[in-house]
Amino acid sequence: MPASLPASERGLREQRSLAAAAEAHLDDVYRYVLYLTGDRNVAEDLTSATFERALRRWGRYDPKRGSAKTWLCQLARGVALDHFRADERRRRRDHKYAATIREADEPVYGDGLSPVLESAMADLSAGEREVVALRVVLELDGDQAAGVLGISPTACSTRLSRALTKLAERVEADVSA
Amino acid sequence: MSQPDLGDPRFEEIVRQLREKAPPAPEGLRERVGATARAEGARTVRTRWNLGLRRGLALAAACTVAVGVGAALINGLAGSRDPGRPELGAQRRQPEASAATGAESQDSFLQKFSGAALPPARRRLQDYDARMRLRVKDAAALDRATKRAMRETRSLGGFVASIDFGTRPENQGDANLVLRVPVGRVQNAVARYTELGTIVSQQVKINDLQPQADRLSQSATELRRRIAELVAKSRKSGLTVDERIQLENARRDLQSVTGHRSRLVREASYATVTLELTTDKAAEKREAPGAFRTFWDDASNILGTELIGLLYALVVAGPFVLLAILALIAERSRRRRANDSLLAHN
Repeated sequence: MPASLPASERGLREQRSLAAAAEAHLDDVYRYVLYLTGDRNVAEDLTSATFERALRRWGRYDPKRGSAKTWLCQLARGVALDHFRADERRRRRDHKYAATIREADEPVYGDGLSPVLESAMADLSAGEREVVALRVVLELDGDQAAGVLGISPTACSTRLSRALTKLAERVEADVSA
Repeated sequence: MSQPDLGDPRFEEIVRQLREKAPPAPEGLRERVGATARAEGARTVRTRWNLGLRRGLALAAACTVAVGVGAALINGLAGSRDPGRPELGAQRRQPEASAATGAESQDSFLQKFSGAALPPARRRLQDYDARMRLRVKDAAALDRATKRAMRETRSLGGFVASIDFGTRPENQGDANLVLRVPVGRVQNAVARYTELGTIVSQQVKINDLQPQADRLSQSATELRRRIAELVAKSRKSGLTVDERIQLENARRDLQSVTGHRSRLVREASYATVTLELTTDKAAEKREAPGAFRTFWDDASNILGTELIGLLYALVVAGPFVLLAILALIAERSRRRRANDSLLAHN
């Protein structure tokens, strides 16, 4: 598995080809898109679209300017935003609001995640979930996450704090109830 | 990097769960993406420069500066190899107008005046006027130079038209001589005058008098013909009163025209050389600029011109560039707000 490779060897490999970068970071990209969309099927499609876009733009990737992981996350964010915009246009055109209805039995944000946390995650906005995905799940540092989001590290930290506080409050409220 | 938000004990369990239970990519997706990535094959990251906008702009600015400075240096180097180029060129283009430069070396001056730079025309009447300013060491040298200038003038067949000589305290003084030299010997005269001191400046003016002399000759010819006609008529049948007056006027005009032409010829046969001799230190000859000085001056001039051009371009294009930057910033800000709004409602 790629994750079992030493970090230096992994870095070298991902600099060489997109195949190596995909092998190393597919899970990260999928998780990020999943947290953004809250839908496994959509996340699969968007992850696939992200790597197609990466294939087209691989020549522009400069390893000196950032890791392949953050570069792929930036591409994934663009793909997801395009999806959201298209979705919004479709909703407007059809004059109806298609609420995202999640099947209760199907976990989205993690296999074996507590239902309380799963529910609390679903209540967060996409913007809050993406910062949780980047900082908590993908374990990017503040600067890297801020780079992906296109905001300052301070703003990123504030957004994460707000999202985690909201999660903690929801979990606590559910447990108390 | 420290992660104060994630280190909060309240979030510990949430963070642990999210990380441990994070779902892996489904196998189907892994295969699809693997196939997509393999299509790229073993293509390596392009080694060509991938600069980006900011680096590209910085590189373009650096290249522009390098080209500008390079052009200035090359121009300076070319100029330093031929320091006398502009003055000689100017003389060749306008030989009869004037030639005036400040503080040239004695050798280059002699070369100019004894060579073919500004010779008087031999077959045309010309008003040749040369002005020279020389510095001498002290009042005694001034006296010697003045006397020698007068001697040299007379030896060449010329004469001293005027002289103004004066000394001041501290062994200082000035002399202003107006010398008339036969025009055929003016180059020789100037060459001799240059030996009297250190040249500070010189100027030569040449006016062509030949057209004026030709007009006077033509007038004289016509007047003579008219006079001959009237004289012949008076011998044959006598003259009326009007014709006698015409004859008198024609004779008077002929006398005037011939006199005028004679003065013109006399004027053109002598060149006027105004010689200013001084002991003034301020008038001391400056050294001819060296190669480095010429190089530096030329390079500075080019750089100055380039800077002026750059400033002009900035003044003209600045407002548009500023508007474009503001529009870009506004568009980015709008897009970011739209994205935030989009993510907040999903």
